[in-house]
Amino acid sequence: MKKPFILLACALASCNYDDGACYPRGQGGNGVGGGEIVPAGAEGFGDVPPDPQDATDPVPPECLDATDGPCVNKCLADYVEEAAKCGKIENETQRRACQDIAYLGYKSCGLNCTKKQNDCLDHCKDLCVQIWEGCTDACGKDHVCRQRCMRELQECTKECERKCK
Amino acid sequence: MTLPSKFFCLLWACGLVAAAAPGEAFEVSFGVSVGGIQVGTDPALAVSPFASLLWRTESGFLLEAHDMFSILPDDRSVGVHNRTSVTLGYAWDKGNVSVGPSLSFYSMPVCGVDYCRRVTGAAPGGHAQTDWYFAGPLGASVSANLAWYDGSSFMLLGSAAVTVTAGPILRLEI
Repeated sequence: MKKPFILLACALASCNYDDGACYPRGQGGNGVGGGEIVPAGAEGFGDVPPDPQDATDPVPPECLDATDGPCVNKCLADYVEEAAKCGKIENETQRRACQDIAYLGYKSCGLNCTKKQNDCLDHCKDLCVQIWEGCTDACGKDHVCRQRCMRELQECTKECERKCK
Repeated sequence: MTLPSKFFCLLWACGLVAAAAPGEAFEVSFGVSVGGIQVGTDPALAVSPFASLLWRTESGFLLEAHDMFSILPDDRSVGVHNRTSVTLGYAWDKGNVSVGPSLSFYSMPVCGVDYCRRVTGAAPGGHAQTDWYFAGPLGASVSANLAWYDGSSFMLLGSAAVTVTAGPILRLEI
């Protein structure tokens, strides 16, 4: 695994990565104590009000991966900027309202990304299948040739998933 | 000069060096602190054994390597946090004080508002420490650390962390 070596290489600049799945709070909470303080993020995720998640929600900001793609990352960057502005509002009611609007904006932006990503994936995979059909037609009954077509189809779909992030 | 003579001569020379610098010494010290660590939005219990190797000169100058390993028990998993620091400072008979850079490696569950996730990373920082020996080799140690946690995880994004720990310490002169 290369990640530990990456850590050694970037130790002077500070680096980290997510190491496992995101899980809801309460399914493994922490204990109680005091001393070391690591805020949830200088950009203010700790101040963002918790919103209920449903099946159509985009990935919560704190659960995003760096590899989630430029579209979702742009949504996150906009959200972080808006949330930071909201954090400066002194009146609590107004601040929470502002944060709610920022979060709704993020959800809407994320949903658009998911839709675009799905459209892109559908289109790309259709093209892969068309190529595969052409390949198998050309192979005829050649079993080895058909296996090669199948491998190319698998590589093509992987490439789609990479490109459509 | 025969080999035994050379050997005793060497011992004598070392004795002279030691006699000339009675305050110069190597020390190892160790202890365990129990405290807390607040990561993300949740505080957590931390059990932190630590060890130090210290070299001090007659004039009081000291160079110290310090390592603290924190275990963070959690309902779901266990977090670990290891901090190594190299510090320069001043020592006297009953204590010492030193400051220097530190480097932490960690793998621990971090919670945001709604969700938690394990984050692994490295965090550079600065370390300050003072030890006070009030009963022979037994004393108390207080340390403070400021580190920067950043990287590709959105759970720990651009966060400065201040650590303050205190606990018993035992020193042995080598």
